[in-house]
Amino acid sequence: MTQQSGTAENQIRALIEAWADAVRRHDLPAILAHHEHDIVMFDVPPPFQSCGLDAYKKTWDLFFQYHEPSQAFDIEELAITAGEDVAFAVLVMRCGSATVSGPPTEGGFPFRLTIGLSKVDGQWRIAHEHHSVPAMD
Amino acid sequence: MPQQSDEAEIRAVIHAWTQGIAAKNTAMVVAQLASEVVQFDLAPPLRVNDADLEGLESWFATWRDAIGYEFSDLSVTAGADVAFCHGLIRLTGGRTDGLESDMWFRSTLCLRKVEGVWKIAHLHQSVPMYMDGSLRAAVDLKP
Repeated sequence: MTQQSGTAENQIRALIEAWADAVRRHDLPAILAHHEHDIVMFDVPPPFQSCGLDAYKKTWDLFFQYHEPSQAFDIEELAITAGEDVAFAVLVMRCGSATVSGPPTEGGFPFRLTIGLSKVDGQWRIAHEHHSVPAMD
Repeated sequence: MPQQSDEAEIRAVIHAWTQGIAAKNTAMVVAQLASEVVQFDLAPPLRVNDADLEGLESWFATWRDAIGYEFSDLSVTAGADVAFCHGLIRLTGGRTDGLESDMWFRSTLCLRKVEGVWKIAHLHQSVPMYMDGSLRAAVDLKP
């Protein structure tokens, strides 16, 4: 994906939409395409944190056990705050999988996602992801 | 380009925020927040679109004394007017129901520089969720 044109917000929106689409297709190289090597991931399931691209990749290996390519991984809300070379995105998403509670639930479940980005050599890169659901107990 | 002092200013804002929580000082906490702050908190609901003073004060009231609220390994990535930070927080102390809390959670703080002052515009705090069908929050994990 080229990022030559458009505002920072449009470039980041396109990057995040392409990433979510790659997740839906289980296309691991495309999922990882715009991530920093030292990304820190806070995911919905354990572990507590995953540091580095190899550990980030493993979180998707786990996810693919619960999620099928036909199921939702949909952006319901997306707000981007972008500076010249640092940005963050705040999302509410919906995951249509058997994750979290075991049996598949109709319509999936909503979760929160915060993404931190930096501009490196003229390209926006994801340096941090925090996915979660509220604690129910 | 970010000034050398931006990271120091951001760390000071986050320190004031954690100190405000530790001291159960609502005004000190709120002073660090942007007016349009969006919060993804540990407990439901999914999202809160303001500072939620009432929620904060009723949570403060569940602690007997001061609250242990400390960041470990806070990472700060700052531009000239936008920043994001993440780290792990250890929450400790005695509750009014007699229980002692000692847990870790993940925290992401996103800031904007508003009229020359860094403010927290977004907060995301969570624990992982066990995938065993129990819906249990993983409050027993340690980094």
